[in-house]
This record gives sequence, C-alpha cells and structure tokens, in this order.
Amino acid sequence: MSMDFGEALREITADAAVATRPVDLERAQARMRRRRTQGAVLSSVGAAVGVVVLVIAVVLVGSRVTGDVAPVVPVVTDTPTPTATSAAEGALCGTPFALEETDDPDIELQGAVRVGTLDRETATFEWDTTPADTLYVSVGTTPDVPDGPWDDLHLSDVTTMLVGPDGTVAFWTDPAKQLQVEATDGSGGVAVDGLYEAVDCRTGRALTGTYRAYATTTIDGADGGETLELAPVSFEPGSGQMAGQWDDRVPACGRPAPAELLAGEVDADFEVTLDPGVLEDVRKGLHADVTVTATGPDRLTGRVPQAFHAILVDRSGMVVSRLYDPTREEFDSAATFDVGQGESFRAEVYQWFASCPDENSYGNVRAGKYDLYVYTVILASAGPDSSPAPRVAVGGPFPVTLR
Amino acid sequence: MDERRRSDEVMAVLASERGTALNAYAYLLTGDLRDAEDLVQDALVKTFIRGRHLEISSAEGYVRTAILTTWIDTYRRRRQWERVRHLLVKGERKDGPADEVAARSDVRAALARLAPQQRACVVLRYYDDLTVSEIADRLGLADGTVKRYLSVAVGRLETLLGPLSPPATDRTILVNEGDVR
Repeated sequence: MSMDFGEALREITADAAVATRPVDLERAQARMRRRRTQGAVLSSVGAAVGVVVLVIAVVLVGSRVTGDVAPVVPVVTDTPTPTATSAAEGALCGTPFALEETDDPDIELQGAVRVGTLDRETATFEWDTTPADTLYVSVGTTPDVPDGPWDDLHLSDVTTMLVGPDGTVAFWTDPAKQLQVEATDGSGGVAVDGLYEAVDCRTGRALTGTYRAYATTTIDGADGGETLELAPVSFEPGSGQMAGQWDDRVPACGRPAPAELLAGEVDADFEVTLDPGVLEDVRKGLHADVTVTATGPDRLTGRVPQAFHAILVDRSGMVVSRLYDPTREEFDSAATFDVGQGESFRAEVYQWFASCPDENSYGNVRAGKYDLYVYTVILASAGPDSSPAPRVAVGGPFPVTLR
Repeated sequence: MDERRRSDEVMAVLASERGTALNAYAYLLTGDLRDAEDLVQDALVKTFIRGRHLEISSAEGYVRTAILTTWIDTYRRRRQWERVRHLLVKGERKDGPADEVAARSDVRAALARLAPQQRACVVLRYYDDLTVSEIADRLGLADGTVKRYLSVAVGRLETLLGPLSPPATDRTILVNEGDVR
C-alpha cells in the first residue's frame, strides 16, 4: 500500500498551524524600517567618502538590493566558480587596514573564519584539514541581545577581511568570489554559504601563514555599525579554533542543578562576576560584560571565547534553560588571557534562554524569578608545554526576574 | 510614500489573517516551529521591503515563494541534521500511541534527510500540487533540474517511508530523470 504523501504533508501543516504562534508583526515592521534606513545610509555615505569607498558601497548596497528585490534563486554549477563579476574587484584588496572598533547598539557581530578543504563530490567543507585550500567565512550579525536561535544570523550584512603582516588586506569576502558548489555524487546537496578559495587577492597565490581577521558591518565606521577583530586565521597545522560545546561538562536542562553548583562549591578554575545592573531588565536573553578571575594556583593561558554562557535555575533547583544552542556554533574571540591566581580578564555573556527540548517546542523560558549562573567551559593551558584542557568558569547565583 | 504605506498595510493584513498558515507552510521546510516563524519573518521582510503595492489576493503567493527561496538560499547552511536528529531517535520520542502521529513523525524525519532544494521541490509537488514546469518557474530552475531533485528526493523518501502515491493532480510517478509530465 502506498502512502498519500500530499495528505501526510497537509496533516503536518494542520498540526503546525495549531502549535505555531501568530506572526510577530511588530518585529517584521521594525526589521523592515531598519533595513530601509540602512540602505539609505549606505548610499549617502558611499557618495561622500571617495572613490574606493564608493565602489565598496555599490557592492554592499547592491547585494542588499538584490536580496530585497526578489527572492534569491540558487545558482547551481558543476564546479566551483565565481557567481558574478564584481565591479569592485580588488577594491579592498591590498589596501591598508587599521582597526577602529565600533559597537552597534542594535546588533552583535559573531563568527569566525575557518580553513579547510572542500570535498566537491559531497559538497561538504571539512575544517582544520591540510593542505587547506578553502576558507569558510561564518561571520554574521545577530541581535545585540539574543532573543532566538542562531538562524537569525545574517551573513550578507558583513564584510570580513584577512590582513597580512604588512597590514594590507590579503583577502576579503567579495560576493563575486563566493563559491557555489553542488555535489557531484547526485545527492543534490549544496555547499554552505560563505566558502571562498584560500587565495591571496594581492598575488593570486595560496594564503599561507597567519592573518589577522576583521569583520565590519559598515564601510568606514562613520555611520555606526559594528567593526571588530576576530580570532586570527592560521594555515599552520594544529592551529584550529579552540571554542566548542562540552555538553557532558555542563548542567543539563530539565534536570536538577548539580548540588555543588547550588552550594557554591563547584571546583572551578575561574570565578565570573557580572557588572552591576546588567540584570535589571532581562527578557529573552542576556548580553553583558563579565569579569573572569583565575582561582587556582596554575597560570592559565588561552583564547577568550566570544560568548560565555549562562543557565537559569528555578526555585526548586531545576535547570530550566539550555546552555548550548545546538543550532549555533561556538567561536573564539581575538582576545587572549594569561592569568595567575587572582588575576582577571574581561569577557561577555551572550545567552539566549531557550527552554528545554521536547518534541515540538523550541522557545523562550517563561517569565518569572530564577537564579542565573554563568557557566562556561573554556580551553586553557597551564604552561607553554602543556596542552589546552577544558576548564570551568562559574559565577552565581545571581537572582534575576525574566520579564 | 503612499505606496509604501499601502504595501505595509497589506503585509499587516496578510500577517494577521494568514500568518498561521504561512508558518505552517514554512514548517514543512524547516521541521522546527521557531525556525518556521523566523523564516516567515524573513520572507515578509524580503517581499515587502521595497514598498511595492501588492494586492492582498496575490501577496500570499509572493510570500510563499519568498519562503521557499529564502529557505534554499539562507537556511541550507544550517546544521539541519543536528537540529532534527532527535526525530529519528524513536526510543526518545513522545509521539503517543496513534499510528498516524508516528507516521507524521516519520514523514518529518524523512523530509529532514533531504537537501533544501529537494525539500522545496517535494513541498511544491506534493503539497502545492504544482507541475514540474510550475516548480521550475517558481524556483527559477530548469525543468530537468527539478526532475532530478524530485527523482532523488522521492527515491530517498520511498527508502524511508515505502512507496508514495503520486501527487493529487498527477498520477504519473516520477521514477527517474526520464519521466516526463
């Protein structure tokens, strides 16, 4: 007997229609207003700041307009090829870059550039492989305060650059150079967005060595936006990123919080304190500066993760939020730490308070009073000859009212 | 400016009256309610950002197309497997005893095994009952490409679910690339 697949799909949509929430019209309207404003600002800035910047603006605005005018049609090719010829080819290439860090109050830039290889048969990217011939630029914008899963990351709003030791741009995310690859194994699979050949745009030769990486949502830093330095990109073997998810080392959602956590007796290598006032108005997530202080006798070095994590514990001692979002990745920042006992470094908590997983829901933790614990696993070395090992950073409890 | 205002009003009406249906449609692609809601948000912004005036009667079609193409273009990079793998771990599911519920979970899990383009083509074919040519027009693909996606997709679905009945409007089963509507 055959399955009526159309009917099965209609039953699924009927179930989904009951379970889904109404469209958040206010959010859609706010996003539209913001993007319309962005387009106008970019156009006017582009006209004011000179020829090179103007050309870049054309690319950026052009890419936005393309996305907004009509639904994007997938470009399918048998082999990796540039998608188009850019009018601004080389506009950023070879130009000096000096970081002027800017912080946009509405958005947060996150991500990393990874090196690896592209398997053209399956259209899959494997990172930290050698010899690396492909870059995977997974850098995008997300709301300044998290309010949902990772899918809100917008890659097209960001220009990412690799800068060589001489201070000039050796690679940038020219939209015309992005690889569009379809698997040759007949599966119909396609490669992820954000893949580029690892080629020095100044020389046409393969990228080698180590580069500083920068990302920006603006073309000159004058109209706001966000610009920051990312973790450096290295083509040296064994220099892959450190940040990761350690599910077996963190409190699990839906289970009682560990007794030692509730008792304040976690054997942690770092103690985390929140800046005053950051918990006064907390809704779906938290984005806040923290101070991280080494507690043990060893001197620890490592790279600061872009996001420290936090969990919520209810009055019964149950963990009610997920620490890791399985749909998002962890990234290193450009900052490093080298601290002994009692010494501190700065970091940021960036956490969406996602409810525990069940069959259908993937939503916000309900409003109410909770205890918040900062809880993060980071890799640190206890000396130049020691390998990085997972270390725990804990802070709390911090009473919080989720609105 | 009036046109933009009218366009925004159409979006508001559409979101209010058909938002739930659009979310449910997007769910066929994402397999996750929250992702579906986000996808509809993206599609609404993409459709109405220029402020062009659309009649309410046709606006839903534009948004549905935007849902499909946005899914293919943007969401293909997501780690879909990680997001939906729990659907395949039958021992941990809480489906309940009803066979039809289990069948729906299996369908959802099977859909999750498809590449985004294949999934979009399957939804257009089996849910929207479009022909191959209509799907090709909707997605901006060649007819042959759509056939290939459908052929691979149906093959994978039948491996997981058993034989599928043909779409309601067409009793020609796509078996391989040589099939012609």
